[in-house]
Amino acid sequence: MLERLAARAPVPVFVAMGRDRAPAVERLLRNADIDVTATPRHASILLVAGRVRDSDQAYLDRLHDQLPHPRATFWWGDEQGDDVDEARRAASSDDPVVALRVLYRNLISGAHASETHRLADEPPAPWRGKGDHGQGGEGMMGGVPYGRMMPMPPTPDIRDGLTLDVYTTQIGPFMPYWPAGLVLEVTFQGDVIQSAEVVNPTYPPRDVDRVPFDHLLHETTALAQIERARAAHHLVCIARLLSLVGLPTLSRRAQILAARVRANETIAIAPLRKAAARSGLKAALAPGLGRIDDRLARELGGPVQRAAGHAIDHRSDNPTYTRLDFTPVMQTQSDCRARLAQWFDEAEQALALVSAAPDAMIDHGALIEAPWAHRAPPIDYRVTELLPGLEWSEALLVLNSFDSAALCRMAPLEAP
Amino acid sequence: MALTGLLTIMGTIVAGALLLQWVAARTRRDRVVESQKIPFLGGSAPNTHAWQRFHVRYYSMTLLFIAFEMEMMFMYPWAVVYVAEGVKALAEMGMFLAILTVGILYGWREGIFRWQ
Repeated sequence: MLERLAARAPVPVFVAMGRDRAPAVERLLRNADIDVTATPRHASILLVAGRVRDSDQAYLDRLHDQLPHPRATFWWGDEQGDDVDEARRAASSDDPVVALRVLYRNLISGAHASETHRLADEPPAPWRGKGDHGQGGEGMMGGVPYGRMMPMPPTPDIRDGLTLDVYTTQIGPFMPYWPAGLVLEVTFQGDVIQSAEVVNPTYPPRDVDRVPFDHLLHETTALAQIERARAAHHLVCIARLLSLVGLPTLSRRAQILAARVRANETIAIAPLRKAAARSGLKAALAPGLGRIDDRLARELGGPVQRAAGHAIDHRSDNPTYTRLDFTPVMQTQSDCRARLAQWFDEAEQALALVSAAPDAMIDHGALIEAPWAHRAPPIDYRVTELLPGLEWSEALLVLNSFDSAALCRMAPLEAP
Repeated sequence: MALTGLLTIMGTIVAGALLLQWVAARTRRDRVVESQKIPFLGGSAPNTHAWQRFHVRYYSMTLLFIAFEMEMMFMYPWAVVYVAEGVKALAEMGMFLAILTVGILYGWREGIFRWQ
Protein backbone atom coordinates (compact mmCIF):
# COMPACT_ATOMS: atom_id res chain seq x y z
CA MET A 1 0.00 0.00 0.00
CA LEU A 2 2.73 2.45 1.05
CA GLU A 3 4.85 1.45 -1.93
CA ARG A 4 1.96 2.06 -4.30
CA LEU A 5 1.37 5.51 -2.82
CA ALA A 6 5.08 6.37 -2.95
CA ALA A 7 5.30 5.27 -6.59
CA ARG A 8 2.52 7.71 -7.49
CA ALA A 9 4.56 10.73 -6.36
CA PRO A 10 6.42 12.78 -8.99
CA VAL A 11 9.54 10.90 -10.06
CA PRO A 12 12.58 12.49 -8.37
CA VAL A 13 15.18 12.81 -11.11
CA PHE A 14 18.63 14.36 -11.13
CA VAL A 15 19.64 15.47 -14.60
CA ALA A 16 23.24 15.14 -15.78
CA MET A 17 23.14 17.37 -18.83
CA GLY A 18 25.21 16.15 -21.74
CA ARG A 19 25.53 17.60 -25.21
CA ASP A 20 22.62 19.01 -27.18
CA ARG A 21 19.87 18.04 -24.77
CA ALA A 22 19.10 21.36 -23.07
CA PRO A 23 15.87 22.04 -25.04
CA ALA A 24 14.61 18.51 -24.36
CA VAL A 25 15.34 18.75 -20.64
CA GLU A 26 13.61 22.11 -20.62
CA ARG A 27 10.43 20.34 -21.80
CA LEU A 28 10.86 17.83 -19.00
CA LEU A 29 10.99 20.65 -16.43
CA ARG A 30 7.45 21.61 -17.41
CA ASN A 31 6.10 18.13 -16.72
CA ALA A 32 4.32 17.82 -13.38
CA ASP A 33 5.09 14.07 -13.26
CA ILE A 34 8.81 14.72 -12.98
CA ASP A 35 10.48 16.37 -10.03
CA VAL A 36 13.89 17.59 -11.21
CA THR A 37 15.93 17.78 -8.02
CA ALA A 38 18.73 20.20 -7.22
CA THR A 39 21.07 17.54 -5.84
CA PRO A 40 21.49 13.78 -6.35
CA ARG A 41 20.68 13.18 -2.67
CA HIS A 42 17.01 13.93 -3.33
CA ALA A 43 16.72 11.86 -6.48
CA SER A 44 16.06 8.19 -7.20
CA ILE A 45 16.91 8.26 -10.88
CA LEU A 46 20.01 9.71 -12.51
CA LEU A 47 18.94 10.92 -15.93
CA VAL A 48 21.88 11.18 -18.30
CA ALA A 49 20.61 13.45 -21.07
CA GLY A 50 22.75 13.28 -24.19
CA ARG A 51 26.35 12.29 -24.76
CA VAL A 52 28.97 13.08 -22.16
CA ARG A 53 32.72 13.22 -22.69
CA ASP A 54 34.71 10.10 -21.85
CA SER A 55 36.67 12.19 -19.37
CA ASP A 56 33.42 13.08 -17.58
CA GLN A 57 32.60 9.44 -16.83
CA ALA A 58 34.23 9.55 -13.38
CA TYR A 59 32.14 12.62 -12.48
CA LEU A 60 29.04 10.77 -13.63
CA ASP A 61 29.95 7.72 -11.56
CA ARG A 62 30.39 9.86 -8.46
CA LEU A 63 27.00 11.47 -8.99
CA HIS A 64 25.50 8.02 -9.40
CA ASP A 65 27.01 6.83 -6.13
CA GLN A 66 25.65 9.90 -4.35
CA LEU A 67 22.05 8.92 -5.09
CA PRO A 68 20.42 7.16 -2.14
CA HIS A 69 19.09 3.62 -2.57
CA PRO A 70 17.01 2.46 -4.36
CA ARG A 71 18.49 4.10 -7.44
CA ALA A 72 18.83 3.63 -11.17
CA THR A 73 20.42 5.36 -14.14
CA PHE A 74 18.34 6.29 -17.17
CA TRP A 75 20.00 7.16 -20.48
CA TRP A 76 18.21 9.60 -22.73
CA GLY A 77 19.86 10.02 -26.10
CA ASP A 78 21.05 8.05 -29.08
CA GLU A 79 24.58 7.33 -27.96
CA GLN A 80 24.14 4.92 -25.04
CA GLY A 81 25.79 1.52 -25.31
CA ASP A 82 24.05 -1.72 -26.14
CA ASP A 83 24.64 -3.04 -22.63
CA VAL A 84 21.90 -0.77 -21.24
CA ASP A 85 18.58 -2.63 -20.98
CA GLU A 86 15.39 -1.28 -22.55
CA ALA A 87 13.89 -0.21 -19.22
CA ARG A 88 16.68 2.25 -18.62
CA ARG A 89 16.98 4.08 -21.90
CA ALA A 90 15.05 6.21 -24.38
CA ALA A 91 15.98 7.55 -27.78
CA SER A 92 16.47 11.30 -28.03
CA SER A 93 13.28 11.63 -30.07
CA ASP A 94 11.20 9.79 -27.44
CA ASP A 95 9.46 11.27 -24.44
CA PRO A 96 10.99 9.52 -21.42
CA VAL A 97 8.27 10.42 -18.89
CA VAL A 98 6.34 7.14 -19.09
CA ALA A 99 9.52 5.05 -19.02
CA LEU A 100 10.80 7.03 -16.02
CA ARG A 101 7.53 6.50 -14.16
CA VAL A 102 7.60 2.75 -14.78
CA LEU A 103 11.23 2.55 -13.72
CA TYR A 104 10.49 4.49 -10.53
CA ARG A 105 7.51 2.26 -9.70
CA ASN A 106 9.66 -0.83 -10.18
CA LEU A 107 12.43 0.64 -8.06
CA ILE A 108 10.04 1.37 -5.21
CA SER A 109 8.40 -2.07 -5.36
CA GLY A 110 11.74 -3.83 -5.59
CA ALA A 111 11.03 -5.30 -9.05
CA HIS A 112 14.02 -3.34 -10.35
CA ALA A 113 17.10 -3.90 -8.19
CA SER A 114 18.92 -0.84 -6.88
CA GLU A 115 22.24 -0.24 -8.61
CA THR A 116 25.43 -0.79 -6.61
CA HIS A 117 28.16 1.80 -6.31
CA ARG A 118 30.55 2.25 -9.23
CA LEU A 119 33.50 3.98 -7.60
CA ALA A 120 35.79 2.34 -5.05
CA ASP A 121 34.51 2.73 -1.50
CA GLU A 122 37.34 4.91 -0.24
CA PRO A 123 37.51 8.57 0.77
CA PRO A 124 38.71 10.85 -2.05
CA ALA A 125 41.00 12.74 0.30
CA PRO A 126 41.73 10.61 3.39
CA TRP A 127 42.96 12.14 6.61
CA ARG A 128 46.58 11.19 7.11
CA GLY A 129 47.87 12.01 10.57
CA LYS A 130 51.11 10.67 11.96
CA GLY A 131 49.69 8.08 14.35
CA ASP A 132 48.83 4.44 13.71
CA HIS A 133 45.16 5.21 13.31
CA GLY A 134 45.53 8.43 11.35
CA GLN A 135 45.55 10.50 14.52
CA GLY A 136 47.92 13.26 15.55
CA GLY A 137 50.54 15.10 13.55
CA GLU A 138 51.82 18.60 13.18
CA GLY A 139 50.00 21.91 13.10
CA MET A 140 47.68 23.92 15.27
CA MET A 141 44.94 21.33 15.34
CA GLY A 142 47.16 18.32 15.78
CA GLY A 143 47.16 17.18 12.20
CA VAL A 144 48.25 18.08 8.71
CA PRO A 145 45.40 17.32 6.34
CA TYR A 146 46.48 15.27 3.38
CA GLY A 147 47.43 17.40 0.42
CA ARG A 148 46.94 20.64 2.22
CA MET A 149 49.05 22.56 4.70
CA MET A 150 47.87 24.65 7.60
CA PRO A 151 49.72 27.96 7.09
CA MET A 152 47.87 31.13 6.27
CA PRO A 153 47.09 31.79 2.62
CA PRO A 154 49.50 33.92 0.58
CA THR A 155 46.92 36.58 -0.20
CA PRO A 156 44.43 38.36 2.07
CA ASP A 157 40.72 38.01 1.52
CA ILE A 158 39.77 40.40 -1.25
CA ARG A 159 36.66 41.62 0.56
CA ASP A 160 37.76 42.60 4.06
CA GLY A 161 41.46 41.84 4.17
CA LEU A 162 41.18 39.13 6.84
CA THR A 163 43.74 36.47 6.08
CA LEU A 164 42.08 33.22 6.98
CA ASP A 165 42.22 29.81 5.45
CA VAL A 166 41.37 29.22 1.80
CA TYR A 167 39.40 26.30 0.41
CA THR A 168 40.01 25.08 -3.11
CA THR A 169 37.70 22.64 -4.83
CA GLN A 170 36.53 21.61 -8.25
CA ILE A 171 32.91 22.36 -9.14
CA GLY A 172 30.96 20.84 -12.03
CA PRO A 173 30.35 19.49 -14.62
CA PHE A 174 26.79 18.35 -13.81
CA MET A 175 25.03 20.96 -11.72
CA PRO A 176 21.72 22.75 -12.03
CA TYR A 177 22.07 26.38 -13.17
CA TRP A 178 25.57 25.63 -14.33
CA PRO A 179 26.91 25.56 -17.91
CA ALA A 180 26.82 21.87 -18.86
CA GLY A 181 30.26 20.31 -18.98
CA LEU A 182 32.09 23.21 -17.31
CA VAL A 183 34.45 22.23 -14.50
CA LEU A 184 36.01 25.08 -12.55
CA GLU A 185 38.60 24.91 -9.84
CA VAL A 186 37.41 27.56 -7.44
CA THR A 187 39.29 28.96 -4.45
CA PHE A 188 37.15 30.38 -1.67
CA GLN A 189 37.99 32.36 1.41
CA GLY A 190 34.84 31.93 3.42
CA ASP A 191 32.02 32.29 0.93
CA VAL A 192 33.88 34.71 -1.32
CA ILE A 193 35.46 33.43 -4.52
CA GLN A 194 39.12 34.39 -4.68
CA SER A 195 40.00 32.80 -7.99
CA ALA A 196 38.66 30.37 -10.57
CA GLU A 197 40.42 28.27 -13.18
CA VAL A 198 38.84 26.29 -16.01
CA VAL A 199 39.53 22.55 -15.75
CA ASN A 200 37.10 21.29 -18.42
CA PRO A 201 35.34 23.45 -21.02
CA THR A 202 31.59 23.71 -21.57
CA TYR A 203 29.62 21.63 -24.03
CA PRO A 204 28.59 23.65 -27.10
CA PRO A 205 25.16 25.26 -26.63
CA ARG A 206 22.19 24.25 -28.71
CA ASP A 207 19.13 26.45 -28.96
CA VAL A 208 15.90 25.12 -30.30
CA ASP A 209 15.01 28.73 -31.11
CA ARG A 210 17.77 29.11 -33.68
CA VAL A 211 15.79 27.15 -36.32
CA PRO A 212 14.11 30.20 -37.96
CA PHE A 213 17.42 32.06 -37.94
CA ASP A 214 19.12 29.17 -39.76
CA HIS A 215 16.13 29.00 -42.09
CA LEU A 216 16.55 32.68 -42.95
CA LEU A 217 20.00 32.00 -44.40
CA HIS A 218 18.45 30.11 -47.31
CA GLU A 219 14.79 31.07 -47.57
CA THR A 220 12.49 34.01 -47.08
CA THR A 221 11.12 33.72 -43.55
CA ALA A 222 8.16 35.24 -41.75
CA LEU A 223 9.01 38.04 -39.31
CA ALA A 224 6.56 36.45 -36.89
CA GLN A 225 8.60 33.24 -36.80
CA ILE A 226 11.82 35.13 -36.11
CA GLU A 227 10.32 37.29 -33.39
CA ARG A 228 8.47 34.41 -31.75
CA ALA A 229 11.77 32.52 -31.51
CA ARG A 230 13.35 35.59 -29.93
CA ALA A 231 10.56 35.91 -27.35
CA ALA A 232 10.74 32.16 -26.55
CA HIS A 233 14.52 32.28 -26.12
CA HIS A 234 14.30 35.22 -23.73
CA LEU A 235 11.45 33.62 -21.78
CA VAL A 236 13.55 30.48 -21.25
CA CYS A 237 16.43 32.64 -19.95
CA ILE A 238 13.99 34.45 -17.64
CA ALA A 239 12.59 31.10 -16.44
CA ARG A 240 16.06 29.89 -15.48
CA LEU A 241 16.78 33.02 -13.46
CA LEU A 242 13.34 32.90 -11.79
CA SER A 243 13.92 29.30 -10.76
CA LEU A 244 17.36 30.17 -9.38
CA VAL A 245 16.03 32.97 -7.16
CA GLY A 246 13.46 30.57 -5.68
CA LEU A 247 10.35 31.35 -7.71
CA PRO A 248 9.63 27.91 -9.24
CA THR A 249 5.96 28.60 -10.00
CA LEU A 250 6.78 31.74 -11.95
CA SER A 251 9.63 29.90 -13.64
CA ARG A 252 7.26 27.18 -14.82
CA ARG A 253 4.87 29.88 -16.00
CA ALA A 254 7.65 31.44 -18.08
CA GLN A 255 8.51 28.00 -19.51
CA ILE A 256 4.88 27.43 -20.46
CA LEU A 257 4.71 30.89 -22.07
CA ALA A 258 7.83 30.03 -24.10
CA ALA A 259 6.21 26.80 -25.28
CA ARG A 260 3.00 28.62 -26.22
CA VAL A 261 4.93 31.28 -28.17
CA ARG A 262 6.65 28.53 -30.14
CA ALA A 263 3.24 26.96 -30.81
CA ASN A 264 2.12 30.27 -32.43
CA GLU A 265 -0.30 31.11 -29.62
CA THR A 266 -0.94 34.69 -28.55
CA ILE A 267 0.42 35.41 -25.08
CA ALA A 268 1.01 38.41 -22.83
CA ILE A 269 4.28 38.78 -20.93
CA ALA A 270 3.27 41.79 -18.83
CA PRO A 271 1.38 39.74 -16.17
CA LEU A 272 4.43 37.51 -15.66
CA ARG A 273 6.65 40.55 -15.36
CA LYS A 274 4.31 42.14 -12.85
CA ALA A 275 4.09 38.94 -10.81
CA ALA A 276 7.89 38.61 -10.82
CA ALA A 277 8.28 42.20 -9.63
CA ARG A 278 5.70 41.65 -6.88
CA SER A 279 7.49 38.48 -5.75
CA GLY A 280 10.64 40.44 -4.94
CA LEU A 281 12.76 39.48 -7.92
CA LYS A 282 14.55 42.81 -7.79
CA ALA A 283 15.40 42.30 -4.14
CA ALA A 284 17.22 39.10 -5.08
CA LEU A 285 19.31 40.93 -7.67
CA ALA A 286 21.23 43.65 -5.89
CA PRO A 287 21.84 46.81 -7.93
CA GLY A 288 25.28 46.65 -9.54
CA LEU A 289 25.55 42.87 -9.18
CA GLY A 290 27.31 41.37 -12.20
CA ARG A 291 28.10 44.72 -13.81
CA ILE A 292 30.42 44.22 -16.75
CA ASP A 293 32.66 46.72 -18.46
CA ASP A 294 31.96 48.24 -21.82
CA ARG A 295 34.61 46.23 -23.61
CA LEU A 296 33.12 42.91 -22.56
CA ALA A 297 29.57 44.07 -23.33
CA ARG A 298 30.62 45.09 -26.85
CA GLU A 299 32.50 41.87 -27.47
CA LEU A 300 29.58 39.71 -26.34
CA GLY A 301 27.06 41.72 -28.34
CA GLY A 302 23.36 40.91 -28.54
CA PRO A 303 21.08 41.66 -25.59
CA VAL A 304 24.11 41.91 -23.26
CA GLN A 305 25.41 44.81 -25.33
CA ARG A 306 22.02 46.54 -25.45
CA ALA A 307 21.63 46.09 -21.68
CA ALA A 308 24.86 48.08 -21.37
CA GLY A 309 23.34 51.04 -23.23
CA HIS A 310 24.49 50.40 -26.80
CA ALA A 311 21.57 50.60 -29.21
CA ILE A 312 23.20 48.28 -31.74
CA ASP A 313 20.74 45.96 -33.46
CA HIS A 314 20.90 44.72 -37.07
CA ARG A 315 17.13 44.98 -37.31
CA SER A 316 17.46 48.80 -37.38
CA ASP A 317 18.90 48.52 -40.90
CA ASN A 318 16.32 46.12 -42.27
CA PRO A 319 13.55 47.72 -44.39
CA THR A 320 10.86 45.38 -43.00
CA TYR A 321 11.64 46.52 -39.48
CA THR A 322 12.12 50.20 -40.34
CA ARG A 323 8.64 50.21 -41.84
CA LEU A 324 7.40 49.13 -38.42
CA ASP A 325 9.28 52.05 -36.74
CA PHE A 326 11.57 49.63 -34.98
CA THR A 327 14.00 51.13 -32.49
CA PRO A 328 16.17 48.90 -30.28
CA VAL A 329 15.27 48.80 -26.59
CA MET A 330 18.15 49.16 -24.18
CA GLN A 331 19.09 49.59 -20.52
CA THR A 332 21.92 51.58 -19.03
CA GLN A 333 23.30 49.78 -16.01
CA SER A 334 24.86 46.65 -17.58
CA ASP A 335 24.25 44.56 -14.46
CA CYS A 336 22.10 41.46 -13.78
CA ARG A 337 18.97 43.59 -13.30
CA ALA A 338 19.59 45.36 -16.61
CA ARG A 339 20.08 42.07 -18.48
CA LEU A 340 16.86 40.67 -17.00
CA ALA A 341 14.96 43.86 -17.89
CA GLN A 342 16.44 43.64 -21.40
CA TRP A 343 15.10 40.07 -21.83
CA PHE A 344 11.64 41.19 -20.71
CA ASP A 345 11.69 44.33 -22.90
CA GLU A 346 12.94 42.53 -26.00
CA ALA A 347 10.44 39.67 -25.57
CA GLU A 348 7.57 42.14 -25.24
CA GLN A 349 8.84 44.15 -28.20
CA ALA A 350 9.14 40.96 -30.29
CA LEU A 351 5.51 40.05 -29.60
CA ALA A 352 4.41 43.63 -30.36
CA LEU A 353 6.19 43.36 -33.73
CA VAL A 354 4.40 40.07 -34.42
CA SER A 355 0.98 41.60 -33.77
CA ALA A 356 1.87 44.74 -35.77
CA ALA A 357 2.92 42.79 -38.86
CA PRO A 358 1.73 39.20 -38.66
CA ASP A 359 2.27 38.58 -42.38
CA ALA A 360 5.54 40.46 -42.95
CA MET A 361 8.31 38.49 -44.60
CA ILE A 362 12.06 38.93 -44.42
CA ASP A 363 14.19 38.25 -47.50
CA HIS A 364 16.60 35.36 -47.25
CA GLY A 365 20.15 36.25 -46.37
CA ALA A 366 19.09 39.43 -44.55
CA LEU A 367 21.21 40.26 -41.53
CA ILE A 368 18.85 39.94 -38.54
CA GLU A 369 19.90 40.31 -34.94
CA ALA A 370 19.88 36.97 -33.12
CA PRO A 371 18.45 36.83 -29.57
CA TRP A 372 21.75 35.63 -28.11
CA ALA A 373 25.30 36.91 -27.86
CA HIS A 374 27.48 36.89 -30.96
CA ARG A 375 28.59 33.41 -31.89
CA ALA A 376 32.27 33.98 -32.39
CA PRO A 377 35.50 32.50 -31.04
CA PRO A 378 36.06 32.67 -27.28
CA ILE A 379 37.14 36.06 -26.07
CA ASP A 380 40.05 36.61 -23.74
CA TYR A 381 37.76 37.93 -21.01
CA ARG A 382 37.02 34.67 -19.29
CA VAL A 383 34.33 33.61 -16.85
CA THR A 384 37.25 33.27 -14.44
CA GLU A 385 37.61 37.06 -14.40
CA LEU A 386 33.93 37.53 -13.73
CA LEU A 387 33.66 35.47 -10.54
CA PRO A 388 36.40 36.61 -8.09
CA GLY A 389 35.00 38.85 -5.36
CA LEU A 390 31.51 37.36 -5.56
CA GLU A 391 29.84 35.14 -3.02
CA TRP A 392 28.79 31.74 -4.39
CA SER A 393 25.10 32.66 -4.56
CA GLU A 394 25.95 35.88 -6.40
CA ALA A 395 28.22 34.00 -8.78
CA LEU A 396 25.35 31.71 -9.82
CA LEU A 397 23.05 34.71 -10.32
CA VAL A 398 25.68 36.41 -12.48
CA LEU A 399 26.29 33.28 -14.58
CA ASN A 400 22.57 32.85 -15.17
CA SER A 401 22.10 36.47 -16.19
CA PHE A 402 23.87 35.63 -19.48
CA ASP A 403 22.47 33.53 -22.30
CA SER A 404 24.24 30.26 -23.02
CA ALA A 405 26.01 31.65 -26.10
CA ALA A 406 27.52 34.46 -24.01
CA LEU A 407 28.63 32.00 -21.34
CA CYS A 408 30.22 29.75 -23.91
CA ARG A 409 32.26 32.63 -25.25
CA MET A 410 33.49 33.44 -21.77
CA ALA A 411 34.30 29.85 -20.82
CA PRO A 412 36.55 28.12 -23.35
CA LEU A 413 34.44 26.00 -25.60
CA GLU A 414 35.11 22.39 -26.33
CA ALA A 415 35.91 21.57 -29.96
CA PRO A 416 32.73 20.25 -31.63
CA MET B 1 16.04 -1.90 46.35
CA ALA B 2 16.76 1.46 44.76
CA LEU B 3 19.96 0.02 43.29
CA THR B 4 18.06 -2.92 41.77
CA GLY B 5 15.58 -0.53 40.17
CA LEU B 6 18.41 1.61 38.80
CA LEU B 7 20.25 -1.41 37.40
CA THR B 8 17.02 -2.69 35.81
CA ILE B 9 16.46 0.66 34.10
CA MET B 10 20.07 0.79 32.90
CA GLY B 11 19.95 -2.79 31.68
CA THR B 12 16.71 -2.13 29.81
CA ILE B 13 18.21 0.95 28.13
CA VAL B 14 21.39 -0.87 27.07
CA ALA B 15 19.44 -3.92 25.82
CA GLY B 16 17.03 -1.64 23.96
CA ALA B 17 19.92 0.23 22.30
CA LEU B 18 21.63 -3.01 21.28
CA LEU B 19 18.34 -4.39 19.94
CA LEU B 20 17.77 -1.24 17.88
CA GLN B 21 21.30 -1.45 16.48
CA TRP B 22 20.79 -5.10 15.57
CA VAL B 23 17.46 -4.39 13.88
CA ALA B 24 18.98 -1.45 11.98
CA ALA B 25 21.92 -3.60 10.82
CA ARG B 26 19.60 -6.41 9.70
CA THR B 27 17.13 -4.21 7.84
CA ARG B 28 19.62 -1.88 6.15
CA ARG B 29 19.60 -2.78 2.48
CA ASP B 30 22.74 -0.99 1.44
CA ARG B 31 25.47 0.56 3.47
CA VAL B 32 26.58 4.15 2.99
CA VAL B 33 29.68 4.41 0.78
CA GLU B 34 32.37 7.09 0.85
CA SER B 35 30.97 8.92 -2.21
CA GLN B 36 27.79 9.57 -0.24
CA LYS B 37 29.70 11.17 2.60
CA ILE B 38 31.29 13.90 0.49
CA PRO B 39 29.54 17.15 -0.42
CA PHE B 40 27.73 17.52 -3.75
CA LEU B 41 30.03 19.41 -6.11
CA GLY B 42 28.38 18.60 -9.43
CA GLY B 43 30.27 15.32 -9.75
CA SER B 44 33.63 16.61 -8.55
CA ALA B 45 35.32 15.30 -5.41
CA PRO B 46 36.78 17.57 -2.74
CA ASN B 47 40.56 17.95 -2.88
CA THR B 48 40.96 17.88 0.87
CA HIS B 49 39.68 16.15 3.97
CA ALA B 50 36.77 17.75 5.81
CA TRP B 51 38.88 18.35 8.95
CA GLN B 52 40.22 21.73 8.07
CA ARG B 53 39.92 25.31 9.10
CA PHE B 54 37.65 27.61 7.21
CA HIS B 55 36.66 31.24 7.39
CA VAL B 56 33.93 31.67 9.99
CA ARG B 57 32.76 35.08 8.98
CA TYR B 58 30.65 35.75 12.04
CA TYR B 59 33.58 35.24 14.39
CA SER B 60 34.44 38.93 14.63
CA MET B 61 30.84 39.77 15.50
CA THR B 62 30.92 37.01 18.13
CA LEU B 63 34.06 38.52 19.60
CA LEU B 64 32.38 41.90 19.96
CA PHE B 65 29.26 40.33 21.45
CA ILE B 66 31.23 38.38 24.04
CA ALA B 67 33.30 41.43 24.97
CA PHE B 68 30.24 43.56 25.68
CA GLU B 69 28.11 40.74 27.08
CA MET B 70 30.71 39.70 29.66
CA GLU B 71 31.02 43.33 30.65
CA MET B 72 27.30 43.64 31.33
CA MET B 73 27.04 40.23 32.99
CA PHE B 74 29.48 41.23 35.70
CA MET B 75 28.30 44.78 36.03
CA TYR B 76 24.87 43.85 37.42
CA PRO B 77 26.14 41.92 40.50
CA TRP B 78 28.97 44.44 40.82
CA ALA B 79 26.47 47.28 41.04
CA VAL B 80 24.88 45.51 44.03
CA VAL B 81 28.11 45.10 46.00
CA TYR B 82 29.63 48.41 44.92
CA VAL B 83 27.89 50.36 47.68
CA ALA B 84 29.32 48.04 50.36
CA GLU B 85 32.81 47.63 48.89
CA GLY B 86 33.41 51.19 47.66
CA VAL B 87 36.67 52.16 45.93
CA LYS B 88 38.05 48.61 45.99
CA ALA B 89 35.15 47.38 43.82
CA LEU B 90 35.57 50.36 41.53
CA ALA B 91 39.28 49.53 41.00
CA GLU B 92 38.49 45.88 40.35
CA MET B 93 35.85 46.75 37.79
CA GLY B 94 38.30 49.21 36.22
CA MET B 95 40.85 46.41 35.78
CA PHE B 96 38.21 44.09 34.36
CA LEU B 97 37.02 46.69 31.87
CA ALA B 98 40.62 47.46 30.89
CA ILE B 99 41.17 43.79 29.95
CA LEU B 100 37.94 43.70 27.97
CA THR B 101 38.89 46.91 26.23
CA VAL B 102 41.97 45.17 24.85
CA GLY B 103 39.60 42.65 23.26
CA ILE B 104 37.53 45.44 21.76
CA LEU B 105 40.68 47.15 20.45
CA TYR B 106 41.74 43.85 18.88
CA GLY B 107 38.33 43.56 17.28
CA TRP B 108 38.61 47.13 16.06
CA ARG B 109 41.91 46.24 14.38
CA GLU B 110 40.19 43.26 12.74
CA GLY B 111 37.57 45.56 11.30
CA ILE B 112 34.49 44.48 13.26
CA PHE B 113 33.15 48.02 13.37
CA ARG B 114 33.15 48.27 9.59
CA TRP B 115 29.59 47.34 8.78
CA GLN B 116 29.29 45.48 5.47
